[in-house]
Amino acid sequence: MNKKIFYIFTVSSLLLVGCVNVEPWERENLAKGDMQLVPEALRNAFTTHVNFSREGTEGGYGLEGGGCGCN
Amino acid sequence: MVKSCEGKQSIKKAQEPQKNNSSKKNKNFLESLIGIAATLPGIVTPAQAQKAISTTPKAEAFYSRYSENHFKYKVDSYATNLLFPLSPKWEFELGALREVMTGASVSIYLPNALVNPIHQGSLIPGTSPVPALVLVETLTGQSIIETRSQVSGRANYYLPDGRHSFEGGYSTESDFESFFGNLNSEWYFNKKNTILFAGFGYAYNISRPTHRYFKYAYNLFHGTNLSSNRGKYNTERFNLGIKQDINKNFYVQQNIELILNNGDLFDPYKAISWIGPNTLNWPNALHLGPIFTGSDRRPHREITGAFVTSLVHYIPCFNSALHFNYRYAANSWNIHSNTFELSYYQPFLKSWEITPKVRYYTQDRASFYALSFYTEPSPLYPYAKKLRKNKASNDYRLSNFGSIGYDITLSKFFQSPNIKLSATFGFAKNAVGYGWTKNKGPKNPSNNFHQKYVAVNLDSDFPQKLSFKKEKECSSIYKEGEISVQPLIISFTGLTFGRKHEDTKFTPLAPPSPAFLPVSKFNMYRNQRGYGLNDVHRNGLGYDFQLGYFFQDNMEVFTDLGFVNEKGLKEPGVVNPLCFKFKDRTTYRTNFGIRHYFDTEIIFTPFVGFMGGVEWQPKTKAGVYAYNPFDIRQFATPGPKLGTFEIFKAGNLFNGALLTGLDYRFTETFAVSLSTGLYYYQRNKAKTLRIPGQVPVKISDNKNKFIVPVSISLKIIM
Repeated sequence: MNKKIFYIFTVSSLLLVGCVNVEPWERENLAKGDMQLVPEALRNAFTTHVNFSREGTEGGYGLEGGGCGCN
Repeated sequence: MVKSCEGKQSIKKAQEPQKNNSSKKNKNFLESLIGIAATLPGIVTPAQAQKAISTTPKAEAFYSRYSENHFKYKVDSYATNLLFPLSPKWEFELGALREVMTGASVSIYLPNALVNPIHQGSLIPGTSPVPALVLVETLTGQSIIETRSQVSGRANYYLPDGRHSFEGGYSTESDFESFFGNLNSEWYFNKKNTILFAGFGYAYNISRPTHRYFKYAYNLFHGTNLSSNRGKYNTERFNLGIKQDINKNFYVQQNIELILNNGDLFDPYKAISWIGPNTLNWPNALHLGPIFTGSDRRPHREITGAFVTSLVHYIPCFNSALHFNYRYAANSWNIHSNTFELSYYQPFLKSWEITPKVRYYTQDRASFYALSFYTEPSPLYPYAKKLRKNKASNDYRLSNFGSIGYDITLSKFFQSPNIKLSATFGFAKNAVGYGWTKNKGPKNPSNNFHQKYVAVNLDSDFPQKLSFKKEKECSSIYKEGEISVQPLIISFTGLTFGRKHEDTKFTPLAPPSPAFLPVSKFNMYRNQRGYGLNDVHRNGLGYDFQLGYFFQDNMEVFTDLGFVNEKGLKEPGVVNPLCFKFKDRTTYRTNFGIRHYFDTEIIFTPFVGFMGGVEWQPKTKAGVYAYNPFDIRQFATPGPKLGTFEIFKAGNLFNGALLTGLDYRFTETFAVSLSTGLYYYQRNKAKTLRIPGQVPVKISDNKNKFIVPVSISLKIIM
């Protein structure tokens, strides 16, 4: 089930490459702060770190440095 | 917001290769406009993709208070990030983080009969049919008081159709260190409708667990020393991603990350218990009635794959944005997890925004996880798992559970300068029952807790006045005859050479009895204010006053007066069988030095110099108490007091430093100075501690001779 979901999203996003043509003057909405994947970097780093220290899996949201001997 | 001519040129320069014909010129002009528009308030520069180089410095500051109900665990986090444009193609980011943690964590699950009357946790139903053997959560005590500090730097290099980032950093806490570096690249294709990401990260981690609280008790009961649980491991991360615009309001991003952890991956503060003989020669095994206890042990390699799909949609009629993330992650320890996140950004009343967010997480348990183990099956532990060599853990984070969390963020935008101020209130509940996996045997009670947090975030552009180019080139920054005053220089400790965390050595001068441990090293002081990267001797926060005179252009002589505060620590079992409570101490210092400043094209003025002088240290005293072997918490119930004793004499010590740094003189009268250097401190002389009825102990200052602090100050020029 999970593999299927992953496969569908990956393949569908790859197939879209080259099929879309948003012109530069049409990018106003895409360029807005709220449309960025991580609008507030520090707050996102905090919640990612909290989840990392209390859960058994991690990763997938881009590379982050730093470690902790989280108790 | 008005952009400088220089800023516009930067954007145009970055786009020059595309200027081949008039239509492209028009497009470039539009792109420039969009690039400028992207820095308007509320339309902050993209963080992940198609990021345009900044033309002004930016700052972000963050504070949060995080708490959990189960173990009274609290974390205060302070973080900041500064971004400086250096040239039309380069920008630099500097990040700093400080976390202060208090509370306890689960160490082991033990039979009820063993932990009473010092019962600390809750009974775990179904673990045994015998009431005395029903397992109980046993905590480390409400004794964790720890700080973590992190500094990082990142350089971003912009290409016409891409960007490269180079990041390095260092994180330290009293028992853990991490060195890390990341390389990230992104390439734009298809009129920037498609972006490819690739990244590699490496981290080297060292854990140095502090078992001093029960080291002596272990020795007393077991007859041998607790073996060291120090560990090292490295982490390699590989990241690939693609972002694809679907239309002018919608895009999809897919990330794949592979994480390889290699080395000592056990948790040094956790232990397991099992029933049956110790046939596997388990490390640090201790026989306690019908059961054994021993260290947490995990495989030396963990491979994790994480796949994240993000859908981001702009809703024009509400001027809002909807984000959805799904992550599937699996690792070689047989943990599989699914994460769903949904957030919604809704502006209102022109300058406000509200952002609700929900998150659901579920995971399976690791193949070697159990609450209890056996080497010979026993009806006393019906749900115990067979103990296998070097693989056993009862860490609740490796068990099956789920988590439901939600938070809400309220943001206010200000103009001139552009500031975004946000407050977040978050709540999450973890429970075994929330997970998708059905539980076999007793539930892990440590996973039934809730988290709360409050966070404040400040995001700001600096005023346009802060241009990073000198107005008059080739003019000297400081003139002959000027006087500089720095009323308050605050120094934070940076790296300490050798990175030793124990500053004082205690050596018994008589043959130690079986109950005595040999030479011990401990910290006497923690920095009073909790700043600095290492909580070690004289590595805390320093306060200084400086007065300088320019005897010729850019050449300054100066004198310095300052002091350093240190807060005494409580150390149970420092010199067995004694406990110490060290008194607070303030060391005063005076120095003389010389500095030479260099004129550059940019507004920063680098300098080099040196200084030397003496510091006066008062008597170092400590209250000494008999050791209580049942007091495994941090000095909760020490034995009777034996008296107050002098640990070090008062005296004058030499110190000196090679200095370097940057000044920014932003007006005729004021400048900001950021400096660092290699500081040398003379060691204190050894002393012998003689307590009636006890073995004499030689005490010597084991502190590091060299440290690298970072200082910041405001400079007044007259």
